[in-house]
Amino acid sequence: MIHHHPADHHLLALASGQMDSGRGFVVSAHVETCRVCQRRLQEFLAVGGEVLQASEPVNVSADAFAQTLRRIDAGLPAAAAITATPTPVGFPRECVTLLPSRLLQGCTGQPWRWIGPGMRYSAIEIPHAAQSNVFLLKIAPGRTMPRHSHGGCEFTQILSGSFNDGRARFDAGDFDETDPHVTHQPVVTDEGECICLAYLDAPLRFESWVARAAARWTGFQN
Amino acid sequence: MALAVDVLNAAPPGADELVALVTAVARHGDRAAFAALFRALAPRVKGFLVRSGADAGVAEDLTQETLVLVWRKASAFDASRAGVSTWVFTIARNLWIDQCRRSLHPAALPQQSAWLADLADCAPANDDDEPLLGEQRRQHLRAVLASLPPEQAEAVQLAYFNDVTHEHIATTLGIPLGTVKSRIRLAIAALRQRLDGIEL
Repeated sequence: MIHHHPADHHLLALASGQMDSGRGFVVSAHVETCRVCQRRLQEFLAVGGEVLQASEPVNVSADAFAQTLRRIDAGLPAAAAITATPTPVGFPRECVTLLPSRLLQGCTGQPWRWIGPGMRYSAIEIPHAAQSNVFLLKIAPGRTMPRHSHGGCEFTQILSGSFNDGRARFDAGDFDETDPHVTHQPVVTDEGECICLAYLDAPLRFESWVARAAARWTGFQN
Repeated sequence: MALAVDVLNAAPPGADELVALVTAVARHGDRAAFAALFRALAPRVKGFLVRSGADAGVAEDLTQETLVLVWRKASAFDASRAGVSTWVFTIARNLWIDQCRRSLHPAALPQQSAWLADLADCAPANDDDEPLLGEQRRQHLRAVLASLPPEQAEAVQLAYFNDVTHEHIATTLGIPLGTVKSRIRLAIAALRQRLDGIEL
């Protein structure tokens, strides 16, 4: 049972093509496994259809129909298709099974990198995005993350395990959004390790200097 | 066979008529039906793309591409999963995203969702998928949209266009951009409240 979903305006932004790659990747990962959000997204697409129908018509060129028929008869690909997406490479094995394969197509992962006791991360490169700001995070059972606030917005999709950060409990399938107003300290439950997919548009602000130094030293954040 | 595409002053086809036209294209390769679809859809698709920020040439090209895909994918179209306008919107949206990626549009690159790509391609539904948005629910949605106060209906529409459009509106109305954005969010919330008010 999924309890935490992306806000409606995020789903609308995804439906209308307004959402950038990094955010869209994490929201899409949620939608892939959430029937509620698939339905909401479908509603926003239907609203998009109505918006399209209500758009002020703009005259097409005089021979647009003839040109369209020629394209159909020629049987040529309608557009220079985006190059076929290769299979994902470099991802930690458990993440390949946790994320829908079509979401990972064309993406490049990294092996887990140690960023602190019981904490590992793996950055994700997304095609067509110079800097995706998307990464995977793996935290050991029972581990407490350093207390931190956020320089910007953070989207998190929980892929396995669960954590509690004082605001709520988040389980596999849940989505969380935090912003500069949120300071929290996620504690992973004892039931198992927790793997999350996350997007950050600005560095986390760790309260302790040790955590700040560790984040910088390990290359997790500069 | 070249068909003249005169703009007829007939009423635009309703949702059912659009489905019938797509079905005729799918079953018989009916070019007259396709011409009627073209008349009904192409100027709206182009208008939508122009408002999305496409320049006239790109909007014209992508409009034609959208209609080419309507022809090619018509046989896979499943009216129990989505309405024609939703389907066409999804195709046009996906083409626009690909265009932004090709041209490295200065706007942040939008995410192409695999799930949405499948919908545009009419990829077969998974076995456990029931129709996501049946016709009854779509009618309800249209009724809800029509019931919104005009300012809110307009704000919902605005949500489908980018920041440049929002800035333009803010300047025209002489209000801060943040106000435009918060009005849009309020309108989305109002839409959600009304949509979930009656579960069908």
